[in-house]
Amino acid sequence: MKTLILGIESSCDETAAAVVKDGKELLSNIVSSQIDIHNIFGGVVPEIASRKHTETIVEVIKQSLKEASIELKDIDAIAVTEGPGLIGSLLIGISTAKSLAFALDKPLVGVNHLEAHISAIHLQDKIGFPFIALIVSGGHTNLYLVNDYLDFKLIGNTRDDAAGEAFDKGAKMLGLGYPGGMQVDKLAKKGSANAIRFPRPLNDKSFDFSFSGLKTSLINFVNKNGVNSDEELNNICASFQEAIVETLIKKTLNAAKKYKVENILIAGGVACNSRLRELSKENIETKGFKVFIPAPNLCTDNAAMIAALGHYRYKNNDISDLRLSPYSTNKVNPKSYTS
Amino acid sequence: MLILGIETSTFAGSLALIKDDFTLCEYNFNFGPKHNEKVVPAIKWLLKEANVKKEDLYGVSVASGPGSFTSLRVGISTAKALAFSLGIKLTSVSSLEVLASNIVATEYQICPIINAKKNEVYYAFFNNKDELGRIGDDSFISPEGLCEKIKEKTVFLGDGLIEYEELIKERLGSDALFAPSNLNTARASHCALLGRDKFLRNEFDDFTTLVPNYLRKSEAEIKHGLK
Repeated sequence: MKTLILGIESSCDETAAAVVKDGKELLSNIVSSQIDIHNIFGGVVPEIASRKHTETIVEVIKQSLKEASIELKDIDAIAVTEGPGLIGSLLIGISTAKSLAFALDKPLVGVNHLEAHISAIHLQDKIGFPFIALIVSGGHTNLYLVNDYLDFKLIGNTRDDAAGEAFDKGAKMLGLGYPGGMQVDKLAKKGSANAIRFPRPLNDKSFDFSFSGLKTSLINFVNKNGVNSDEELNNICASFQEAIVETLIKKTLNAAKKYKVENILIAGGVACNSRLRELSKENIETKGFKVFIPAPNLCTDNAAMIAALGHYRYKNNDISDLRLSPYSTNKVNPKSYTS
Repeated sequence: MLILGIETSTFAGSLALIKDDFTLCEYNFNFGPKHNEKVVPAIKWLLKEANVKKEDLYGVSVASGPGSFTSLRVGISTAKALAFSLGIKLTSVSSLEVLASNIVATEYQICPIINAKKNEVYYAFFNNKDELGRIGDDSFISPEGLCEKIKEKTVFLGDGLIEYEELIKERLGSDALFAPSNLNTARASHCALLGRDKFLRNEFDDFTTLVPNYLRKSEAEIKHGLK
């Protein structure tokens, strides 16, 4: 019997719905991005995000069903992001999902957005357990030891800014607009990564990250030296990016060694960064580990990953109550631990 | 005609099931913004208690504002998804009109007020000698500005009174009349009844596109001077 899961995601500034079959086959993946609007304000404005979600969510769900060539009644369960994210935004997806679950007499499955970033890989590759997962996005920089489909052990996270946040804040101060992470990546390609030696933050044995100091050293550098040419800007971007990416790779590699895993997953929005993809090949694969990175449309926020994780939770009977509430900061699912 | 009413425009919330013009069941709460937790379970409970099937619903009528942005979105998202998935009709009504429906058979004008924060209230004027009539559109204003507009005896009600009853009393003296405090929250049965009138006039909303009537732009848009 095939199992069809409808996934709904509204944790930040993308309204998304997707249909996944049997936890691995993607039937549709619709994302309505609000980036153009938030661009004007230089960052995501929660109230505007909530308004846009309300406007588009039903249409996005309709499209996801249409593209999957199925009807609402064919769905076995409805998976929705319960957090972490913006509460007002999460509420739109959650209210919609609850209402659908109730109306259709189908189970509601609340899932953790960060764990879902990990589950995205099941839609693309067969990855052997256990593996180390680096989830790196605008809001999070987490390292997990993943023992099974539903066994995510958080082993490290950021103590201040997330890697994506560092990219975006750095870009903003360099006048590259919002979201600037992709712009930094683009300019870095034309610059030298060794031009400026920015500090490698929290260069220790822990699996935690810290990027606010790096951001400060970028600000100090620019205040002191200015940005005098396009070439200099390219060099700053390349060097700044190198400091972030190198740190991410190093900690991930350390974790893989410590936990003696063969496979490494890199996912989340920042996994689209070309230098991170490049260095993961150069610095990780050459050391005998296998690196898995979901395709860009499965790395940025999407509902396919919500449906994927939702599938495994549903099969495990992790059904949510209709009183399900959102949470803004990461909450470790007690069911996600074996030890 | 079986109709579900959803009212989530303030701190309080209300869900009701009506059959024609008869209220079968109503659930009201006024203990904090618990809309997300309460709304769908309450709908489930209402249907069960009234012993009716959700498939027998003709439509859902939702209060679409003005009011608290976040709680309005919970009610509207719920209503839209219900109409979409059950294949039933959807309509939306003004939260101020729902609130004004609490006052009946009066010679005086009625002014429901909902706290809009930032020292402003959402308001509108109505009369209700035998049936509810609207005098002017829903809008927002400072409570002081509202008092200046009023030149006759007016019945006030709504959660805006929690903060501004004293000010209104002071400014308007004997022209200000206040409803009993249990009438300060809107009832979903009224929301459903107003929705029924719309359904009977063939006035429907689209479950794909319906959004709250915010009246106000977001802070960020105001600061940016955007339209």
